[in-house]
Parts: sequence; C-alpha cells; structure tokens
Amino acid sequence: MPQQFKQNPLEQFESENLSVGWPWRFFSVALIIFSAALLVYLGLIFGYQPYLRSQLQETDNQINQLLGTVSKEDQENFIRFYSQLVNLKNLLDNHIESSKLFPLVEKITNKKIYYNNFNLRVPERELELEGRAESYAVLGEQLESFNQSEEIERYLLNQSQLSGNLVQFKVTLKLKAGVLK
Amino acid sequence: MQASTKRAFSLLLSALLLVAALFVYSSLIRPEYQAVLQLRGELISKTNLLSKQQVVMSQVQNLIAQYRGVEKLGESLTLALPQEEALSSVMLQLNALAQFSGLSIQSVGINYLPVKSVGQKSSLIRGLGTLRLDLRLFGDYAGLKKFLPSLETNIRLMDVQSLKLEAGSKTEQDLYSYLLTVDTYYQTK
Repeated sequence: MPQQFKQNPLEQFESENLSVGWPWRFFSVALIIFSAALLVYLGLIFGYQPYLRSQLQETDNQINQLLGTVSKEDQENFIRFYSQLVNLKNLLDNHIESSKLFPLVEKITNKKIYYNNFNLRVPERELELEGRAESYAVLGEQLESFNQSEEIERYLLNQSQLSGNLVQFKVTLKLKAGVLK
Repeated sequence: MQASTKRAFSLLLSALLLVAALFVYSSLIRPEYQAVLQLRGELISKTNLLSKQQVVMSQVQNLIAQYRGVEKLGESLTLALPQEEALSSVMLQLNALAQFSGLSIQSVGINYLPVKSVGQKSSLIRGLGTLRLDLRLFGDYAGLKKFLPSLETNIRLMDVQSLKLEAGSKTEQDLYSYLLTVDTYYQTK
C-alpha cells in the first residue's frame, strides 16, 4: 500500500523572504548626501554671500566716511604747506651766496693789480678776471697767490701782454665746491 | 510590486540621488564657492585698507592740528616761495634793494624756465617754477657789496647764477656796470 503524505508539499519549500534593509540604507545615505549638498548650496547663495556683500558695503562706507573727515580745504592747505617746506628745503640746500667771493678776491689780490672785468659763472664755479698788473713780476706773484689759495681748485692764464708800462692779463679761476655756499 | 522590483527601484533612486548630489557640487557649489572666496579676499583687503586709512587719517589730523598752530609760518613760507610768479613783488623788492644799496637798475629781462617736478618722490610735492631775471645795474663797488648779501638774504629766495662786472668810463673809476642773472622761484598750484 502506498505511503500517504500527510504534509502539504508546498510547506516543504521555504518561501522567499530576503531582507530589503541594505537598499533602503543605501537610499537613506544618498538622500542625506544630496540634501547636504543642496543645503550647502542654498546656504552659500542666500546666507554667506549676502553677508559678505553687506560687510563689503559697510567697509566701503567706512572708508568713504573716513576720507570725508578731513575737509578739502584743510587737505589743500596742508599739502601746499608741506610742498613748500620740501621745495624750500631743497632750494636752501643749494642756495648760492655769491657775495662770499668778494672778500676772497680782495684777500688774494696783490695791491699792484687792478681788475677791470669780472665774470662769475656760478653753475661752472668759474671766475674770469681781466686786469692790469704793474709788471710781469707782479703778475707772477698774483698767479702764485691764486696757486696758494685754498678756495681755488685751479687757475688758467688765458692771455697776457705788455701794453705800455702795464701788463694786461686774463685769468680763469676754478673755485672749489662749497665756496659759494 | 515584487520585492526584487522594489530593490531595483530603490537602488536606482539612490544612484540618481548621488548623481544629483555630484551635479549640485560640481555645477552649483564650486562656482559659488569660488565667488565666495573672491568676496572674502576683497573683504580682507578692504578691511586692511580701512585699518591703514584709520592710522593715516589720525596722523593727518594730528599734522593738520599742528599746521593750524603754525599758520604764521605758512605765511612766511608763501613770501619766500609764493604760489604764483608774483612778478610785481619781485620788481618791488629788487628796486628796494637797489635803492638801499645805492645802485640803479638799468634794465630787467625775465625768462620763464620750465617747471621742475619732484614728483618721483611723492605726488604731494608740487612743481617748482623758476623766473630767470637778467639785471643790468649801475653803481659803485661798495654798492654791489651791499646789494648782493641783501639779495641773498631777501625774503623771496633768489640765487645768483652769474655776475659780470664791467668797468665804467675812465673818468668814473669806481663806477661799474653789473650784469646779474638771478633765479627766483615759485611753487605751481
């Protein structure tokens, strides 16, 4: 006699009961990442950028206000004053005192010499003298006096000639720097 | 809907969300972040500028306060170095100096030299104009010796550039003709 099966054959097989937890967790993580990206973007657009722009505007306003604290007139007067001071200092540093030359020429000139032309060129520091000497001996003494002078860098006898009893001459003196200051 | 279909749908949706997040980052966040960095840089440099300006302005205000205390000095400086040629005052001063020294002015020639600029140091320093005066004077030697120091110490700054002395006629041994080239200055506006 054939054996009777008491159990339902369908119960012999386990039903498909796989977990769906892993895909849903993956979905949640993806959703969080997307939401975070979106939040960061919105935060930049509507939060941080407007804040930075308002800060910039405020700084610009403060700079403009600061520039307005000194009036144009005060600025103008002060700049003029400062510029005058600087320009005057430069001018006074190079100020020429040509009158210092006369005591020097008087000191080194022989009493037997007479000048009739005197030509001072300040930028070149050159003094051209034309005069008359009683004799060549006197002229020689005069040239030696130029030679000995501490204020004269060098001299050049341009010409000399006997005219009657007197010796006419022309000499160019190169003055040392600082003699006219 | 079968469970396997749900899984597939869930996976597809997750992948789409990740792709969307990547898109938001690369196409939206990165450009905006660059703009934010630029704004921050600008803000930092302007803040630095503001703090420097604050220091400078306080120094300027101190200087202006000091300047207000020495306005008289400013007036004297303007006499020494005027804001314009002030030719009339030059002529008056020369005439007064010549009279004081016993010399007579024979002629005066005026040349306007190019304005010199000291601009390379600071834009605050204004240009310096020069008036070159060619003077012909007549008088004795003592007069010239009196005239030159007065000219050199005159309130309006003057520098002798050249001096030529020529003897007068034989009957007037101590009388000379003097040719002077003198520079005087003014500050441009």
